[in-house]
Amino acid sequence: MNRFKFSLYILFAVMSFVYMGCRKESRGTDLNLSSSVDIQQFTVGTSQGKIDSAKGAISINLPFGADFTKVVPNIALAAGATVNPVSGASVNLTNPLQYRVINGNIYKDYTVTAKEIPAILLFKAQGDTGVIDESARAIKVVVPPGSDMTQIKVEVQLAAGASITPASGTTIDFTNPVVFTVKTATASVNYMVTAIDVNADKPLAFLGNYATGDAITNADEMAAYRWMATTYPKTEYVSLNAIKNGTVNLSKYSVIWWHEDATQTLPDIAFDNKVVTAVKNYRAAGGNLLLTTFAARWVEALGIVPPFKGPNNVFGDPYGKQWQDNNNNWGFSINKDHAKHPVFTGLPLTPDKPYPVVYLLDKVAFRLNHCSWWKVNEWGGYVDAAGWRAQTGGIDLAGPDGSDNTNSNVTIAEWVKSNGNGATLVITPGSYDWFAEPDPATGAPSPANSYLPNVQKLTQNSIDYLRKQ
Amino acid sequence: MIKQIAQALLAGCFLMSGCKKNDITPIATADVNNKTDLYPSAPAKWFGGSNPYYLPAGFVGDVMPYYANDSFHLFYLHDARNGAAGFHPWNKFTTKNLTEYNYNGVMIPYGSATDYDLALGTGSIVKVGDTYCAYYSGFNPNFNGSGGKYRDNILMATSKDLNNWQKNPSFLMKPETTNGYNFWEFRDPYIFYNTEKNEYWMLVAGQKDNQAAVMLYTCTDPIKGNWQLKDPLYTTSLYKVPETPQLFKWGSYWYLLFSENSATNTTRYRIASSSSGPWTTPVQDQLDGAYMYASKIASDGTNQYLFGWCPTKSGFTDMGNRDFGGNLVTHRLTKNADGTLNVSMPSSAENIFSTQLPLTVKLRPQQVSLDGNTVAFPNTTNASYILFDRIEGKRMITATITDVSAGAETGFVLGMDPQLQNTNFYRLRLSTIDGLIAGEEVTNPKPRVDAQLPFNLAPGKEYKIKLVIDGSVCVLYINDQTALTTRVYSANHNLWGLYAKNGTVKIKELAVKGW
Repeated sequence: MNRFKFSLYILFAVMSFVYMGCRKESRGTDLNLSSSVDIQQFTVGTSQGKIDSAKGAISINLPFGADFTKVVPNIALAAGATVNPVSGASVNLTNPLQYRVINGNIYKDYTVTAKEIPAILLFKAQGDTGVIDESARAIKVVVPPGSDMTQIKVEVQLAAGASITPASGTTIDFTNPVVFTVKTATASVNYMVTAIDVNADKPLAFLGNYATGDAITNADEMAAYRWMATTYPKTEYVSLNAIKNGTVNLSKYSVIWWHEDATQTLPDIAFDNKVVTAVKNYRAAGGNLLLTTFAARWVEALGIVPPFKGPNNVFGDPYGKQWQDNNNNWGFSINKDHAKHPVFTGLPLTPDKPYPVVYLLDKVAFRLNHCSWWKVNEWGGYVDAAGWRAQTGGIDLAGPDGSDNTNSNVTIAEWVKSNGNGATLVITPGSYDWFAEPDPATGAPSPANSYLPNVQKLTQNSIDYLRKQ
Repeated sequence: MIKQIAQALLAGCFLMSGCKKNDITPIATADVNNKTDLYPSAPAKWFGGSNPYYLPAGFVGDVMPYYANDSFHLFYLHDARNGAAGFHPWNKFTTKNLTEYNYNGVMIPYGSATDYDLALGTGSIVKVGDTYCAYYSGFNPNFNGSGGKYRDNILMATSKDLNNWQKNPSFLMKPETTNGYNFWEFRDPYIFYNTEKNEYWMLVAGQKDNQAAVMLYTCTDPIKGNWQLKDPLYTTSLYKVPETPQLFKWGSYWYLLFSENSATNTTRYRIASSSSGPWTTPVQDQLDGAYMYASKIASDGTNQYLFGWCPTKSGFTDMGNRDFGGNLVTHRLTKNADGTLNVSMPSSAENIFSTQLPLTVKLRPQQVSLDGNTVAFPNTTNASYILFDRIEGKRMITATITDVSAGAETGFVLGMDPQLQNTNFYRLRLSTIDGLIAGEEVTNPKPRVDAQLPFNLAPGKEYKIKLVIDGSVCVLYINDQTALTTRVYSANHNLWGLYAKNGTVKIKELAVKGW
């Protein structure tokens, strides 16, 4: 045998050996078809599993705070039986886990389900029971509408031997989520507790006269809708047609916002009996409305104001006639009696006016000046702001930027929550503009409206205010 | 000496075949076979006498079956996988009985880097007078249309005996470049004498107007090769190219076969009462799954057979990807009154499994046992398995599936270890839910399906099953109607079993046979 031949034989021998190695068992075991494959005992520390042999199911309760990803069960088997995973092996019992017992030539599968012995038995805030998500260690509790979120009283029932901080019975500021720590003899676990006003937990509706939100054709309305959907993920688009057809249940919404910019005259469907009735019912059940630009006119049809007391000065330019002011930025003046109203929170006052004015529209931006406000001292028999309030039932929150009061114009107004009715806010000045149209001469995009953030902030304040009503 | 090396390597490699879980060094010739293989691939061969060449092993690509002189001449694209610039010469097996194959080596070699046939593609053979005429695809990736030289062309060779072939250097059929034809897709000529039209037809796989097109040429004399382009025989936007088309008359029906590698990687068929259509697509138009490709029909005058190839997988492991080339696989075809086709096991192959082997249970659930030749699975949500002794060699497992409850799933498992692993095994699944049979590797988090085709397992019916395992090729036959071919490297040397879940299933008349 020369060297080369020898290496060939070695190669053959190695290959044959590898081949043997791929067999999954050695041969020759005698058949054993009568042995026991029952799990006789399944324990984790001092916890004893409950074994249902007929169903092949084991349930076990583990101490509060146990690490379910590293559980070490001890398993007792009949003589000769093996189990996989083996007794004493660390396993993850976050989800049900299959154990397989083999004895001779018989096997049996067991499904082991582990549950944590809870420490928090009940968590209440302002009398409402919270939902405990143990896997996320989070609690969410929905508190009654209008609750003062800075003064939420919690009550907690705990298992024996457990304690919680902050303690049960404490009044807590829930403006932001609060961490509670539960301690037992063996564990310390943090829970993130969130309290939400029941209205803030509801979805919001953006109303329009289009089949879907994507079908909106008016650029101003589309910009408003996109901002809302981004700012409030719970936003749902609702068409007037859906209300008419009864395919939408408005009661699930905390706020309905209609921003109508396309037509000075509201579409016929807004006056359809079914639509008006549905929205009136919504409002009567505590639903809140935000009506902006031409949609402010709806207050009359909905009976929020008496007949003929809706906005009496409605105007604006058609698309293509957009223009720049070039001299003055536009905005509104805050009625000093309502300077602390939440709709104005955080809005910057311009320093170039002797009274509080918030700019909404940059002088360089092209605008159509879509306006739907009330002329107070000239038309409608109101005489002054007091007369307007008396005749409309509204609160004159803001006037025009050219005046420090609302005797000449009411631009932002509220009809407060009362007698079970929800609140309504209207925003009407021509400066409340979501989209700067392109230069009509060149088609070039308009210079940006540097005050658009104020438009957004005013709207967000309004929605946040309404959803808490 | 060289012969001895080859034999030693060959023997070692042969033993390696089927080894799955513990392979350290995959051997590239794992499927080297001998002439007694049911699903052969090309063995390494030392040609003695006047043909003193050593021919390395390789794999079977597109098969071009031709019946003559009491034998099937199974020309095929030889996939040597040796890294050579040229590839896919036409090699040949011959067989008289579909169970014993003679390997005849190279029939038409590939050319040089400057020839149109640096690589060969599929074609077909037609006999004109005393001359056999082979039309074949020539492929040269160095040509891109510049200088009038295109990548895809059709070439021709002739022979008087089906063994010695002379290329015809004067014949060159270039791809169409106008009228919406795509000259990059022009291959797989199929030539036959159309008795309905009294002329020769050539089908070519191509594209017209961005649709898959079975192109059509006609002529009166294939030796002269004066082919005339006609309108496409068939077009579809469902697939990219209708590869390896074939038109076959059987009784009163014409069958158009083609293989698509854009949706399912399988061979499909259409039916018409005329050779020119219109073509009807059967509800179930697959002849097998993705592990039987480029299939074509040939008849010995009595029976009709389907010849295709079962791909190997990269790395020769069950989780490898589908390769080009593999093993020759043969099914029998029968037809129903409405013209639809059944796929079954050739009786000669079935008859060769004559040795009844014992059914030895190696592992069973506590509540399930083998009663005679019957296994009754109770209603359980989780899968129950009953495992039998390891498969060693060629096997045919027969069984009848019955008493299937609605919602249930059942089938075979292969590559099982005695501890009944939860993953890393192969499953042939029949389901009452999804209307599919599937061959799949069970892995986390979900199985990887290799091959599947529509088949509805219905409660209240019986299903006669044959599962054939030869090397790593597994073919599942159901009711002599449906076949699903798969590649399972772990089938041999490991336990096999039956399983059921989500309902009750009875499997009776269970038997295992060997050669």
